[in-house]
Amino acid sequence: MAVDSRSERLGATMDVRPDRLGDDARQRLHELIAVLARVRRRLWLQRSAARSVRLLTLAGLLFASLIILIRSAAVAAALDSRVELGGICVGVLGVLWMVLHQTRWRTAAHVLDGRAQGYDRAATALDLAVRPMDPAWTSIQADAATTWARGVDLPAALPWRRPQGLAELAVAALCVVTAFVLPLTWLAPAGRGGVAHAVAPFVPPAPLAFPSAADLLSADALTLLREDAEVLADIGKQVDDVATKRWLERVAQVLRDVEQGRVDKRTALVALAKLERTRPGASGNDSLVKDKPSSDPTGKDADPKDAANQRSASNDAANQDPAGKNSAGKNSAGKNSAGKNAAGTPAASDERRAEKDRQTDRAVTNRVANALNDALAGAPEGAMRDAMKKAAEKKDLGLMGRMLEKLAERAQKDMNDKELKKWMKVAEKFADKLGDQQVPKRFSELERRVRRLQAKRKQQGGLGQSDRRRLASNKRELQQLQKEHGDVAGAKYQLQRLQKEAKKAAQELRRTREAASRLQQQRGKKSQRELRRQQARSQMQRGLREQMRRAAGEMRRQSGQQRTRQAQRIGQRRLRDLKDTLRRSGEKNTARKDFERRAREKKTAQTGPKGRMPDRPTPGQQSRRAAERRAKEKAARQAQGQGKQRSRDSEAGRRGKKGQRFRLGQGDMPDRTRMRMMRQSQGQGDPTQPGSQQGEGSKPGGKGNQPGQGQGGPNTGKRNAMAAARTEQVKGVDGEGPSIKKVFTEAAKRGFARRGWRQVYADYSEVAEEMMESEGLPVGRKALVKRYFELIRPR
Amino acid sequence: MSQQLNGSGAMDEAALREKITWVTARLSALRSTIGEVIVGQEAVVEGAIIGLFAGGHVLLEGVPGVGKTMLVRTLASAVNLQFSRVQFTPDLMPTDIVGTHVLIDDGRGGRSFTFQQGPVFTNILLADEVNRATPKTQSALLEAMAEGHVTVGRDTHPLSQPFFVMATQNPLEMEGTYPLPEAQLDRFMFKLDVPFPSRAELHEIVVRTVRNELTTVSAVLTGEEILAVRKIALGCPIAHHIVDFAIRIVEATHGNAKGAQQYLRAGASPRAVQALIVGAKLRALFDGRTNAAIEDIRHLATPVLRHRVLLNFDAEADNVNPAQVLETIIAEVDRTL
Repeated sequence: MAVDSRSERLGATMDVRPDRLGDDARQRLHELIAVLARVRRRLWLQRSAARSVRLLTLAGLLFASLIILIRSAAVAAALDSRVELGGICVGVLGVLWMVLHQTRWRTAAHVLDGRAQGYDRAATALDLAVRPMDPAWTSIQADAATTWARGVDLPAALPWRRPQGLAELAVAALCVVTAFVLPLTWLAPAGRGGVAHAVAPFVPPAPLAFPSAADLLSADALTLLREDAEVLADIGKQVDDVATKRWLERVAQVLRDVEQGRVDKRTALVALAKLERTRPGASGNDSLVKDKPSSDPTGKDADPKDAANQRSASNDAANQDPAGKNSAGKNSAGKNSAGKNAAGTPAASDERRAEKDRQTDRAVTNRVANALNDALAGAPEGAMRDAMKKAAEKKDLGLMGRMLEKLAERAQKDMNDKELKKWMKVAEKFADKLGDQQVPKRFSELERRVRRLQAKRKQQGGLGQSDRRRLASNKRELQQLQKEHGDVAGAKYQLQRLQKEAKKAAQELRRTREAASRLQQQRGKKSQRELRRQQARSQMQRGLREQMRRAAGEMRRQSGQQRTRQAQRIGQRRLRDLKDTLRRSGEKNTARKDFERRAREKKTAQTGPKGRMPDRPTPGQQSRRAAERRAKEKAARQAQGQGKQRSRDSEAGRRGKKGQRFRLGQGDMPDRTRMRMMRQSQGQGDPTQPGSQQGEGSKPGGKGNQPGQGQGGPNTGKRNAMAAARTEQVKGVDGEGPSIKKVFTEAAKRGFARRGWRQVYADYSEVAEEMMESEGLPVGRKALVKRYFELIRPR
Repeated sequence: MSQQLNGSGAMDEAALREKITWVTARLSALRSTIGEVIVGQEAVVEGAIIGLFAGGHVLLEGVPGVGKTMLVRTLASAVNLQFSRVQFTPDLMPTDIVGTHVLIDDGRGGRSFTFQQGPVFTNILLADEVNRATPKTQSALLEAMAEGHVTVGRDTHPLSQPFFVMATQNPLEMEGTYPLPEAQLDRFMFKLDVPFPSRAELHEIVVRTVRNELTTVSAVLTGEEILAVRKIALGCPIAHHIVDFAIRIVEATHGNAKGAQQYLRAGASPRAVQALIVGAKLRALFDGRTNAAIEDIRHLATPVLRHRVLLNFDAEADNVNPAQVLETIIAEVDRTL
């Protein structure tokens, strides 16, 4: 009866309405509910045990941790009570949750049906009881369910199962016991306050050492640095200018320091900045162009627009063919593109400046060589004339100077009068040729224009855009003329003196002749003529030797200056590369990768280009074009050779050995150089005329002339420079990629959502449709094929 | 009894109990009657009976000689219903099934078109090798199977009830066949695979058939009784969670079942849920229960859904058939219960 009353209550909670069901049905339903109540109790016990095990395991582990902390005084004593209270509250809440969290009636019915093969009788009976179903069916179902439930052996259907996690509970209990009995001395180092130190507040770590610059660079980059330092040291030994020599040594030292990790990044950057500032001749390069900003350190007087226009004009000037006379301008297109790409960057500015210097050097050398060549037309035939002609063709100032010295020596020793006179005429003609009558005129005119424009700016407080452009253009032209005129002026001056001395010698000869005539009267004709001739010869020999030596010395000086400038450019470029590398090495990995890529590019360039141009477009063409574009940019930026580079140089790069020395040459393309930066030729040549290049080389400090001989392949000029700078080998092969068979196989294995399959399907579906239209396929077969194609369509 | 069976409205508990008992007895009797002729094939026989009482249609697929046609014939004999058999061929026309208007001379000089009924006007129609006819002819059965009438010209001709189509097809000989379109397949409540009999069953088949006297069956049910059983079965309540289980299975055929989704191209229609529920109710009555169970849904899911789920080429490439996919689906739905 007690069960019945409880079933009534449970039935009320189940919303079993008595007005809808008969008494018998309700009674049977209540009997079912009573069975389900027993099921619920068993389930509750079962699940509570499992939850208790989990809860106790967790609590045991936490408790053990807490005990350790309390025993080791990591938790303040004042917190002990709060911790205990918190633990008790959590435990009580857990128990309440377990008690109140009862299994639902339907869940109990489902469990009973499932465990006792009830075919959902109990669950359906409950469901029908709480829903407005046909009472007859509900009653029948309740009867069926109750009848079945009566026969269910609950202990057999719901046997007591050992809760899972007992092993974990045992471990937790062991932890608690261990926490109580374990001595804590092992947790605390001697002399310290226990485990509290282990959980002590955060102690800031010792400041990390500043990473070495070498740590930021890859092995390839470090190898490059080491090699560059050696090359710079070699160059420094060959440069005559002491300041440049010291500066190059310091640059090489910085490179070595970075390479060996002796300096950190910041120190290296500071040293590089200092070296840039102290570079010999750094301030005088653009004295005219930059006279305004440099004259006013505060920059207050500097008109920003003016400066911008000057920069713009400078860029334009750099893109123009400055000489218009030499062949260097034939590659101006490539340089223009490079200048545009790199416009505005310090590197580009340096490159433009270096390019101007090189053009000036070439112009001077050309003028001297042409003058000598023209003058040699009247020279007496012989080995000396041929050697000097060769030297003029080589366009090597140093070689020409040495030849002039030889001429002076020969004039002193074994030259007859006729030859002496001819060589005197050659010297006069040489001096005349060197003197360009238009230069002083043009020079004064330009100076006048510049002064006028500067005065106009002072008066009006500024210039218009066209005036500013004109001023900048005039300044550049003036600077160019100054440089060229200044370089030639020395040789010209000496030759003019030679001419004067020769005239003086002629006058002396006349005077001697008059005296001789008088003596002839006195002593006899023959002896007087001989004496006169010997005196004149002696004077001419002396004068010619002296002047030739001076001219040769001047040419050597010019050649040395050119070498110095070239060495400074090399050092400057290495400085800039290293600075960029160090700066970018700290930013992101991409910067470092970029440097490493450049290093690899240089390494690849050393081995020469291997790529081949395919006859027709290939799948790899796009990437190859990109590589070519990069190579063009790199060639325009780095390869200052106006198309004159080549095979011997790259051969030298290929076969370079450690013992080989770097030699600065007129062509800026050292023979057998190991320096990658110098690998691009600066010789002059016509890219449209294969094989026309001839480099000029001089061995500094050497005694003998060693004219270099360039040898060009069929590809010369800019293409060669670009090819040398090409860094990637892209071999696009037509048809490369997965075969159709592979596409089919992959699609069948991995699904029909692949790109290759989409293409193949598009191709073949059209063919299949055409075939189905054209062939006399049965209707059923057509449907089958269509269905097949529908199944394998791309997704 | 007949009146009682045909009565409508709410019944008292005792009457309902009596009807349920009667239904269970009739079903068992029909099953044993068929079992006198058909050896083994319990699942197929059960499916055919459920399909007959549920008002659905059954598609039988099996190799030749396993007793498909014999099963239909036996069933028709056991329920005492009119039976027609149509052998589907590629040149069979729709009019050969539904009938056509023919010119009739009344003998007095007058002529008129009169509708000549086709074989579809019957209670049990055996469409033998249904996939040999063209889709056009196959589609002639659509209206009859779904709506129980046939429209010829402007006239709609109702079919006599119960109307039950049993179609057979051969899975091996696919040359010159026309696979049934999905719409046609959906009209079949079950697609039953008729398996090859076991050795013991073959022995029994030989014993029963290779003799002078062939086993014949007597009718144990009438058409009216079939309709009454259908009415009782449809009135059988079903619990909410059972319906929910069936719905979840059908839902899972649309690609949200883990492990099977990569093989599914299209899922089952709502008609599949209806078939599952009706079939579960009848199976429960078959089993002497008044409630459908999840087990019934689980049991009927494969024959109900086998022809309704469309597999993609991945499944064909992996040699996965619909039954395997459905097993995965059912297991997945079971897991989420």
